[in-house]
Amino acid sequence: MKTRTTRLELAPASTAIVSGREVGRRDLIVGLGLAGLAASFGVGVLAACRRTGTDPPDRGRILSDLSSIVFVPAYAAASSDAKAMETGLVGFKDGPTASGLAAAREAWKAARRTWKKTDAFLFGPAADLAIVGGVIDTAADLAKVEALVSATTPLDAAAIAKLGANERGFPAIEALLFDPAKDDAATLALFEQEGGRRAQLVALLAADLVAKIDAVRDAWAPGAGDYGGQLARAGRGSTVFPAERQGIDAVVNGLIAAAEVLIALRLAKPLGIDKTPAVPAPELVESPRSDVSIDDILAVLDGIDEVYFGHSGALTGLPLADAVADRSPSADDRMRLAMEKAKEAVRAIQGPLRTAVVDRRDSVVAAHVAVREVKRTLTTDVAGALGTSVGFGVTDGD
Amino acid sequence: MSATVSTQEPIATTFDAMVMRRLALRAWAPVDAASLVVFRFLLGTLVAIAVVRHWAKDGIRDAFVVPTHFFAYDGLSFVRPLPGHGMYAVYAVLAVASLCLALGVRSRISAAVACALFTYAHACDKSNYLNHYYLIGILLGLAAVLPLDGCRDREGRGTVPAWVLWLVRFQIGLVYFYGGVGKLGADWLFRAMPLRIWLAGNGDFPLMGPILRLSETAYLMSWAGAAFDLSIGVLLSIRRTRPFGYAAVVVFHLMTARLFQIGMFPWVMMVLTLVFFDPSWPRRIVPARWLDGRSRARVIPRWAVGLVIGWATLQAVVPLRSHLFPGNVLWTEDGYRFSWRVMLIEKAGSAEFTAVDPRTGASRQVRTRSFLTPFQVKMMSTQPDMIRAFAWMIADDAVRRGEPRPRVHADVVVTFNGRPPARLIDPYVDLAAEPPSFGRTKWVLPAPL
Repeated sequence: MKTRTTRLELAPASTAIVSGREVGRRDLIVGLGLAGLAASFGVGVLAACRRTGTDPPDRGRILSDLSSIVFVPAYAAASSDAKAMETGLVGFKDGPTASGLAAAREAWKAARRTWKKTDAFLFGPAADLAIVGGVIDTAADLAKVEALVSATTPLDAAAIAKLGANERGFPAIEALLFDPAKDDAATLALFEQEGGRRAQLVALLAADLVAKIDAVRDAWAPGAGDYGGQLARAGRGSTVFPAERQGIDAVVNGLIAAAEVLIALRLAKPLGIDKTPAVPAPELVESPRSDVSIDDILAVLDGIDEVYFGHSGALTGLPLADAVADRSPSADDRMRLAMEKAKEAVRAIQGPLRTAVVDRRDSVVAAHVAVREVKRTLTTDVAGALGTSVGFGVTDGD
Repeated sequence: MSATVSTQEPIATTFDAMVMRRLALRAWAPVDAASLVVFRFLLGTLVAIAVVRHWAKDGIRDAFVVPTHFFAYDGLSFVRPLPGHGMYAVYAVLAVASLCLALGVRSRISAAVACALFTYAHACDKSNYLNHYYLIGILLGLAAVLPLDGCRDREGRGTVPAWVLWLVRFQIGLVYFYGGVGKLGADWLFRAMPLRIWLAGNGDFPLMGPILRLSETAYLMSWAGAAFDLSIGVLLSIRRTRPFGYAAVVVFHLMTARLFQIGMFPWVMMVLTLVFFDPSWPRRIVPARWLDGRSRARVIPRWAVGLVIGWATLQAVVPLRSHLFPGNVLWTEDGYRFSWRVMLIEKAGSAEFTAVDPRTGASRQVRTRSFLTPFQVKMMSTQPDMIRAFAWMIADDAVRRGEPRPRVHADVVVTFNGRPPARLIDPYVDLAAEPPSFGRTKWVLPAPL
């Protein structure tokens, strides 16, 4: 420092200015460098001083656990249950019996319940493969399904593949297996008539459904599709989710969309509260012939539960709930409470839903309010705590 | 006493006049137009890139073709997107005009066309408002009226009066300044919000990911961000600190580009702040024939300075209008737009609407998605003026279907900057009967503490 001062004092004016500028610039560079080092050191010290176990949850691990513990196994289970149903229906086709019909119905319900859980994460392959509102879950057109039974055109896999969405999937199989207007014997008799065409159709529809579910399963599973792997690697080499937050956004938006569908389509429409005057529309309940509408709703709530709490069966991962609680413990508390109350309210509906929306409306309205609270909590508390971009927009924000 | 005044007044007046004359001389002194020519090129190029990017991401379809309803700006309800593929044509012409601006082909006409189309496209729907779109609209407007290409002096170099350069710098500096002023609030400084929420979602950031998740980092970055915004205008304006100021601009915006989903804003600012460098800086790297315009010297009327001062005053005052209105602007959003408040809020809302038949009192729940896209729902659910506008959409729709005009009530719950959810709108108010209000919206409930 002394040398510099001396040099400046001794140098001619023009040199002094040049030298002074050089010195000043060097000082600034050194100063900025030191400031950067100090800041990095400060942050490092702060990080090191934190007690073990108090670090915020690793969202990358949350996504990875969700993928391997919840999403991929859920589609594998859906595929497995659908295959079990198909196997049962092939046996039933070869020799329809009362016990075979009962077993087929139970298999349908089991497969249905497992599939409905995946409604909580209908993004990615499910959307890309037009599964959402597509061939797996579109309400059946009973007249068209019956017309297929009575037609004489050959029935095979190729013919099934050409059918419209309202003639395939779970609802079409349900339409053939269940009929609340007939007793079991009458329904069984239908399978024994028509040269076994009804039984043949239901078996083919089941095979078609399995193929569709398998397509989603494969798209998620490690291997060709590996969408689950893409989600697990969000922000760490994923080409689908270049940033970790995009993975979290997809998951949270999936939950919100599932709750929205429950509110608007599964409850509000059958209740008729989306119109003035409110006229009940029991024909709009989901799974109307099997009377598992309430189970369907509970299965979706279970799916939301599994995603939020990061568990499936005996397996538990690092849950999304922890990331929410880390930012806002009260938000997490409200989400837990909302989920509990929603399940409670839905269970309190004395089924079937198609009669409840007419005769026991208060209980259905209460369930609607409770599920609405789940969606509201997801949209405000959970999304707010995680900084989620609700609704996805291609437009960037600032 | 009076004697003292009488002797000092003429001195003060003379001094003031001298300062004003010097200022006027400096303002009219010709400066090299090279940096403004490059600015014009970069602005045109950026807009053209933005158009291509928006198109490629299906943004035109999502913003203008898919929506069936649009949130008009107050007084601009007649501004509607063109039907069919009309908006694609608008964007195509915008891209061509921007490229012409970049290449200096009829620069001012190209800028005027680009400004008109860009502003039109963004005036169709409030949902799409972004601060950097507003900035680009203004800069295109300035490019249309200012002689950015300069006029050739006797030596053949393009020059402009210094005030032209000052005005462009002022306009860009204002974004940072008010961006910094906006950060001088309790949420930003003492709660590190919303950075605490946003940074927590960046665990994948190379090397720094685990550190970014810490609250301490959010506080550090909040204070550093405010200091950056408030000081960068000065740092860029002083020759000796300019290189370091610009280095800070690059580092700051590269970080924000990587950390947050803010689209082209960081790149726009990194590129446009080059205008703060010495006016001749491009001459070191760009051939003179590209920098020196062909036009001869033209007389710029003196009254143009009056317009410039008026414009600058307007730009300085408009962002302050929110202070005229009661309540927390981050909550009410009265005067929030066009005020350069950047990255100050993380809001998430849930909006439910009920339409009530005035004759029977029967009510129905309205599904927002029946009217709006998910993006519009998201934007509407937290912004009171859009919530009111949506209530009007519901009522107007009922009238179109031959029903009596319903009363519309909104149950809107919003969480902002990490606070517990709170009701935003008075649910008993018939929003379909509420006219647009410029601030002081009585039906907006107080912000949570």
